[in-house]
Amino acid sequence: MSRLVNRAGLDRVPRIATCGLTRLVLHGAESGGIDLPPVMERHRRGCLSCQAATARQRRMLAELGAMRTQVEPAPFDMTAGLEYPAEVGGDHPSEQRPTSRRTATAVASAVSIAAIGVVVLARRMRSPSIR
Amino acid sequence: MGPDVNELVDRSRNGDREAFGELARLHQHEVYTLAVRLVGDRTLAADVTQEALIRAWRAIGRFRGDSSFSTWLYRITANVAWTLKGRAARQRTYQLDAMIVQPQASDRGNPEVAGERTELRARLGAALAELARSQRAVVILKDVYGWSHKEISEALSISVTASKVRLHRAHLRLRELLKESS
Repeated sequence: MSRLVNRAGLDRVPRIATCGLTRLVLHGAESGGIDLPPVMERHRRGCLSCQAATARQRRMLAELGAMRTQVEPAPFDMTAGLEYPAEVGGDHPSEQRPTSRRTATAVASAVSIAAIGVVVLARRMRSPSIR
Repeated sequence: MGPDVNELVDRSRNGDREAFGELARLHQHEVYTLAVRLVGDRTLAADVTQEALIRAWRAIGRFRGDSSFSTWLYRITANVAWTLKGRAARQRTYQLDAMIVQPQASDRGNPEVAGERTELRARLGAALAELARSQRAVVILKDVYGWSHKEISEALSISVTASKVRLHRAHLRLRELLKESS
């Protein structure tokens, strides 16, 4: 990242420009995804606005993290009425539904294509230009 | 004293339905919560939960115990929620309140702090509901559940880079939405 920053000449951009750039990569740095390039880190340390943005970002991440412990009770017993397959690893009817749906679609498509073919053929046979 | 999860897992792997039923009962609320957060719709979340539990039963024989049972079950849940995306996308009826979280007991000590946090959470919940579903899934799994990008990429069948890009865009969008609502 810092190599990219150097190559792009971001070391020499004015302070007002690095504010936007810093905020662009701020969340990545805060969530541990990337290291904030030195030029941006220096900028952040000296910029109250970017420090405030960092604080907001941290607060947001903390609140998102706090959601982990909040559990919403299931509205009913999700295990009641579950029909487990007879064997572990066995097929479940829900797996068969898409297959039968696919088969029905394929059959319907084939019938439609055949019907269109018959109509086209009948018209050609009747058409004088073909004769 | 509650039942031993490891013992229940072992019994389930040997085909004990009752043991798996007990495991499912123990984890159903957490699974449902994750499903609500991922699909944003409580009715669909109930379907996702039940489908995830059935898939878990089918796959329990292959569970090697590399991660905890709950982590393994969450991965299945995320995968089910993701594969049902077409259905969710067609419905497009996200329940905004499904994303809004309730104040925690720890906030009750300081009413001012509790008020601020409740407000931020409500705004955050609304902002999360506004995100594109693909972005929201990554934010939920990364920022709420602490998954790595690799784990997210496996659960959602996307590349690690795509996961990072989505998180980046989601954070930018969240920031905008929070700014608008403040």
